[in-house]
Amino acid sequence: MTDADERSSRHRVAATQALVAAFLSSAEVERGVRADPVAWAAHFGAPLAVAERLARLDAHRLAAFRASMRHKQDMREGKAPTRLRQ
Amino acid sequence: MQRVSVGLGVRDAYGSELLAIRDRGVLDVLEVMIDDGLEASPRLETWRRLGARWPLIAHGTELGIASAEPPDPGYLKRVAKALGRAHVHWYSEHLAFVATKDTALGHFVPLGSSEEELAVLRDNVAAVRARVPVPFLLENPSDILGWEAELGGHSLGARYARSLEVAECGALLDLTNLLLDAKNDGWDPMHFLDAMDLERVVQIHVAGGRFDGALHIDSHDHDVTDETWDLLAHVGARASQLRAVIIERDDRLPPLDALLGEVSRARAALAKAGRA
Repeated sequence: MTDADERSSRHRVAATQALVAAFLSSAEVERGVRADPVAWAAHFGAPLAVAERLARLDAHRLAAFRASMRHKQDMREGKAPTRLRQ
Repeated sequence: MQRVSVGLGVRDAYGSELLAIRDRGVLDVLEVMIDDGLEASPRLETWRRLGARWPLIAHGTELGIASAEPPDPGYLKRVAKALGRAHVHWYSEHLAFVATKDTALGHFVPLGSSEEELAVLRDNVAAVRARVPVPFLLENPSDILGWEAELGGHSLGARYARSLEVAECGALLDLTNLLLDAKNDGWDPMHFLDAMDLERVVQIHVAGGRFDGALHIDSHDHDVTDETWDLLAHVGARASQLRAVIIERDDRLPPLDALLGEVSRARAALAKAGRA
């Protein structure tokens, strides 16, 4: 692969990941993608198939992912884990 | 086949208790979270003392090896320094991205299947290898989103195998992630394993998850299940390069003795495979 090919690959993967990350972290982007995946795919320069897959993501699974994301953030910020009693 | 070492993921809450263990033989190995060791802190002295008693291996969460952004050389330099300080035998990360240029998720999003993503992975791993002086393993992350669930166990296993092959890396196979994804998405974990080259498996993670009524969550806050131990015996009998099994626990922390009991259960599972 040439350097130009590699930059191009990275650019396309970056567009996909940017759309996925925005969807996962923002309720506003989530609503937008679910309502109009074509527009949001174009906005990020990502493949339409990715936007369509995001639009179909199960809401409960997404909520579980976001809860896990918040939990990891709490731990990073120093929240102590709970301990079970002896 | 060679005996497999069994141990725990080091967490701060257990540091002094681990150091107080009199019978060193209750553990074979410990795994440190390398991202917790990048800055000077009392934790490093605990690791140094633990490392004097047991071999250490390292696990990371912040690298994002599948990210479109190349690994940050400054971050890798700090990781390499921390790995050297702890004298670890190898370093592992999740086959996932955790951030983009604009958004820090702080959570693993699994690698997709495209050749472009694999090419990015290959180059990112090469960048890690150029700076990190120990073997590098890739872990199958949990996919709570069911991002590519429709592929089924065989295709997902084949994708993991292909990623390891392209990156020329050994596997850190997380059996709990595998089992929970299989339950959530309705496929057979054996199909995933059958599609893998188990000779690449160097390390295994096991943990206990929870069920929220609809989904099995990889929460690391319960005991390891019998089903997981059975799967460990199955893989242990087939993965000839397997060197270590680590039990992870991050919340609802039990007394250390309970975790040492899980070490014994891992050893019992490996004994069934002739690896204890």
